[in-house]
Amino acid sequence: MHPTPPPDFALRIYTPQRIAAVVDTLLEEGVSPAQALDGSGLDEPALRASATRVSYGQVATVFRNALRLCTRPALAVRAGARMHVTAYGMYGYALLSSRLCAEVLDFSSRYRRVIGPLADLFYDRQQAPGVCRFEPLLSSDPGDPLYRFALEFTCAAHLTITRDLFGSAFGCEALRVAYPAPADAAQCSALLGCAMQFGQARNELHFDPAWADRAPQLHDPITHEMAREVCQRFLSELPYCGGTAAAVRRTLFEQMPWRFPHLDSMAQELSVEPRTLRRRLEAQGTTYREILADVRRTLALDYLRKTRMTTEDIASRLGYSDAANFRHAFLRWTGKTPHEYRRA
Amino acid sequence: MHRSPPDFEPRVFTAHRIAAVVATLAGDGVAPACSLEGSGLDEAALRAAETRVSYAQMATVFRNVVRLARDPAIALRAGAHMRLTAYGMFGYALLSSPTHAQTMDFAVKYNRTMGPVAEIGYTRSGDTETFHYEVLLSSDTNDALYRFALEFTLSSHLTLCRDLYGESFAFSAVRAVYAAPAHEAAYRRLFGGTVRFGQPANEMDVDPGAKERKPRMPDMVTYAMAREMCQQFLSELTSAAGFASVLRRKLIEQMPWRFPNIDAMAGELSMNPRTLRRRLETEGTSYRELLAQVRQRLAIEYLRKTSMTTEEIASRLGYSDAANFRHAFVRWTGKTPHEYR
Repeated sequence: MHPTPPPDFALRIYTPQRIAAVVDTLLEEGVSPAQALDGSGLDEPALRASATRVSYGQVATVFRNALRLCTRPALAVRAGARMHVTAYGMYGYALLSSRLCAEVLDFSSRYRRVIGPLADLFYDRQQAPGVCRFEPLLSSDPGDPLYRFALEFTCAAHLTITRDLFGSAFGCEALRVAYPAPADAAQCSALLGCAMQFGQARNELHFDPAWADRAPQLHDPITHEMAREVCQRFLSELPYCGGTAAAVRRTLFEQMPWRFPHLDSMAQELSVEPRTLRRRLEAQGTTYREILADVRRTLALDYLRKTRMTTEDIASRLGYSDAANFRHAFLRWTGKTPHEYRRA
Repeated sequence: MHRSPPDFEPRVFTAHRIAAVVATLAGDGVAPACSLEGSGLDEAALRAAETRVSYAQMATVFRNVVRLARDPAIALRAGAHMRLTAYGMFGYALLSSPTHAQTMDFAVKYNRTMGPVAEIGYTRSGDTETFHYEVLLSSDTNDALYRFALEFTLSSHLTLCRDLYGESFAFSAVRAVYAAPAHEAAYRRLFGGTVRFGQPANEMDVDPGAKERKPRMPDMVTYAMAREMCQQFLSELTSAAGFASVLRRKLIEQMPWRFPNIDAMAGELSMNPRTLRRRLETEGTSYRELLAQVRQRLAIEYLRKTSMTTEEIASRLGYSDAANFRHAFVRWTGKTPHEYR
């Protein structure tokens, strides 16, 4: 169910351009950066500082603020459109120097996790050379406004990058999305320059497949390789960036469902003493129990939204002795029963 | 403006300039093997990402091309191949630079990182901006190589500016120190504007009336990253030319987890450990020192960019325990890892 584990929301390792794009867009409608950044632990200078790294959690906080504060339509599209290829660091440079449009998309889908994407991008040149599929990561519930925000921001950003690479002639034919038509559907569609179809099974951007064989204006194989190597290094370091806590989390996701090692066997899995494991997690301000609960919660929400499993099935898959225990835990996490949550 | 001429031997630059010239001549029907003769390079090497070349190799190939080309204006045409991405991190810094003034400062300060065949200077008087070019491959203005290098640089600069500012960008005046060549008309076709020869300096002007050159894709964070990488390369270039920087790069590639001792590293480079030691000595450094530098750089990166604990960083960097690492870190920076973070 998880081809790649969902991102760790606490890990501060991504550059802050997405947050800056939203803050700048809100500023145009008179919302101060301080309001937009409320609760994120960031201030305006931090958004321009090269050393700043942010987490998914901080991005989600600012986006939720934005949804609450904005007064004009199509905020996510306007903010995403500001994301030029330079906003993506080495990943952007690798795209800029790619040989073919199809390679740009292959690269985007293979290295997407380098940039801390708001939505995973999938591209299969053989199956559908004119389709990019998007899967939002900030939220997995199409009914959640954050899901829509992440998707529209990502699509607008994707179009801006594509135009940076291929010139302004690039356009797409249609954007299919999983959520129902919002009030500002017409404005979003106009800004994106393509038709939007709502309530679809998948989020897909359709474009003329002839583009797949077009070459970016600035392709350069040597520079592309250099930039790719830097991205590769980041990607292979990613599992360690979060230290022990992230390693535990990843291991749990890989083993779930069904297996819930307790701390001793997890320590063995990671080849450390249980005492060392406990101490390291403590040093990162967390506990094994907390991580386990977080992973269970993430999976529970996923199962409820994306499957028809009964509460009993989910409870047993997540290692609860009975459904009542699970219901109790779920209520504590979300303030709703599983049944209420699924119906919402 | 006069700086020391570059060291001709270290192979530290990417092969983009050579590749541009060879490709242009290949388009005219001259086999790459002929253009590359005597340079120790072959066609495959030009395409390989890890190839690094020296000024001596550039001079060899350029002289071959001067000899082989039928078109006397070939260097002006070859410059059209030098798109922004041919400049690696230097090009990316220019593209992401937040302001025009910063772009110019950066270009002048760091253009040496790219192994230019002519060094670029920049002055501004009133509204007129002027670029100056000092040819590095030859100092004799009558040498065909001198003219070739300058023509290539001027044309490359035009290509780069068009990538940065759009197709409509143009220089308003071109001045060169040598006498008008037979293919003078090719200059006028390429640059438009006024072209003069026999001038006191090699220069190009940007007209005060030129369209405002606003950066198209400013991004402060990416600019800082790209500049930092150029800075790192520049200090490696000047501090320990050649070998030490090769070794440093190798260590960074293998880290973390692996810390080859000097014997293993020598084996990897297919050389005798004694030779390795001696070569580093002549560059005023040692294996131990390089290892410490690399560890320091990684430690700082981990502290800044990850949430790994001191303990984890220590073990990643190959310290037997966290206390040893802490001790070394205080020695490097005067701060504990915790204070630093």
